[in-house]
Amino acid sequence: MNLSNHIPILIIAIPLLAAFLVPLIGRINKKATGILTTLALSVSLVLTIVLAVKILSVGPQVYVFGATSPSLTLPSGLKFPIRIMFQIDAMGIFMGLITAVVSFVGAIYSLVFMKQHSGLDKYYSLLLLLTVGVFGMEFTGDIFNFFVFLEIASIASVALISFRGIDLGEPAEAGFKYMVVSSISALMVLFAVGIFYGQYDILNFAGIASVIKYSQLDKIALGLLIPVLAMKAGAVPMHMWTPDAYSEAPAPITMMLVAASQASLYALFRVVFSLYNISLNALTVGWIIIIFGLLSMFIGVTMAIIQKDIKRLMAYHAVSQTGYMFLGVGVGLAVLANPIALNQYGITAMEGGIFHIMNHAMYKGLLFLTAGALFFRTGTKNLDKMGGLAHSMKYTTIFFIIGAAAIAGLPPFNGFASKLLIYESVYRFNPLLSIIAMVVSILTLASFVKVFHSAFLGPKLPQFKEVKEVPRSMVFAMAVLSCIIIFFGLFPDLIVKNLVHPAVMSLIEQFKYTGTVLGGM
Amino acid sequence: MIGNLPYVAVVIFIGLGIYTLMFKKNLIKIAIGVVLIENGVNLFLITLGYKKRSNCPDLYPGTLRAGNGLANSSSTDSYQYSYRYRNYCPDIVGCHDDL
Repeated sequence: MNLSNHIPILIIAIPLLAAFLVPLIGRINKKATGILTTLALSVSLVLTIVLAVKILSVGPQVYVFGATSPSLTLPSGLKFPIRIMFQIDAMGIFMGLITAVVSFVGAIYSLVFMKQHSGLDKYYSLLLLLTVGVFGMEFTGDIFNFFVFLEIASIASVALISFRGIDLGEPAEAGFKYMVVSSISALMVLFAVGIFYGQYDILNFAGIASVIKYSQLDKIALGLLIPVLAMKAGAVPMHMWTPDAYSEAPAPITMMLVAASQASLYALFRVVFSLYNISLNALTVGWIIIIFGLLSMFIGVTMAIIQKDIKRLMAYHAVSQTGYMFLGVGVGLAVLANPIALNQYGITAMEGGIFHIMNHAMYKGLLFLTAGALFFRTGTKNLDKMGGLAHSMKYTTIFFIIGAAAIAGLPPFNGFASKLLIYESVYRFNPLLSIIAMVVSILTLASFVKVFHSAFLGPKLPQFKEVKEVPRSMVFAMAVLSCIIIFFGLFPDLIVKNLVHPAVMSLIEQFKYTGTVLGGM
Repeated sequence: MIGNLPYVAVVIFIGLGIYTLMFKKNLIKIAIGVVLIENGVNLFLITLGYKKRSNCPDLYPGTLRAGNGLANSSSTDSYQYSYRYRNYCPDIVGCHDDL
């Protein structure tokens, strides 16, 4: 048996196995649960990198479940695929890499951060299940299977958001909100799946994409899918759950939630580009996505400026940064039917939007971890009560500066690279959009200067005399993300050319996506 | 026309569910709203299972009419069976229009 053919399933199977082993191990040794989780996720990370190298050099990979050979998509001469399969192209593995890094760093950070909590076996079990769900959403090539993984990720995240205790009230409220939001979106996705299955009798993404007619029913399905997936991604008219869920969850979980939201964003792009592509009215749908983006950017940042709770402030910034991704990819979609404009600036805009997904996961993860570090040592999330922490938490201060500079789009960091791509290309589509994006970036900087000033600067406060630097494993987790941010900021060309451009092209070129499964390339 | 009634019920279920979610403050009622949408979607999936006046798909030309010529692979067999069930095809020879 050649194991290298089975990497796609191993990436999911190892954390899944560990998720059910962790409660058993926890009966014997409490400490071993965290270590087992970290080990399982590090294996996943290594396998994801191996798979990424394979996909970027050889081409998209297919893994068919229950077939005699994992690459046998059409058994016995069938005309369309009938089995569940994973279909991983450059875009899927791009998201997979984000999930792998974020979950691994989150597990390391949790080792000390969650130490004083009880029920850690359940915590790690849910963390692994959340990772499995997010990986599955990104790898699957089957729309019903996507619904299943969406549910796994949602249920695990609901439990994790309210993990700090239902007695406290606020975590329970945040968990309930997220539960309602995710059950509605999962049900609407199921409804859309029903519409596709009723019309075409296929559940495979590529299979549906090859026969889709953009009939009235397909329009209804698109109208169901875009809002609910945008809701799960936290776009503005449906963003009411983000500040609660992001601020009440423990810091490493918040970081994972950002990755889970981005998996929904990925699904939205997958539906629009790989399922419908030019069969839909690209200009209209593109503008709808651009408007989601504009609203998210502007309302997100203006709500963030007035917040006093550091994690709530960062949560609103997460909404605002999601807007950039919508803007970049929306512009790419709006000019999809126009090859000249697409080559001139559409592809660059999409590269900016997609690159921003990865950058956002890294710097927002880092910022949430620094907020978690402050909470870990001071016991408060209120900015008015903090002050002078730069004296005692030197590493955390440096990491915060790196994260804040990256989110505000200052040059040597990764946020600048993707934002510049978006500004330049969106300006050629519509100058006003680009100007709004720049204003939002300045407001972002303003609000992080406020956080820096009130949390870190000033004299040493008497009530924080005992505060010292966070333990080594937490510093290590933050350092990993900081290194990635600086590396991406220094060599953006390398990443855009090797990782982002193939991802964008695999979204735009629908025939390649369907051809991987159906042949005929 | 009367065959479309379940779809009308689906729309009513989901509409009521969304109304409940948007305008009720009571948490129990919100949970009931989610359940209403869930019922609507499930009813939709079940209703789709029956297609009137439809024919069996002929995945392997010639094999269906022979009566015994199912494909060798067991997984494709089960797929054909489920496919026929979806199209309400109780007989291996052909479909009944009147059911």
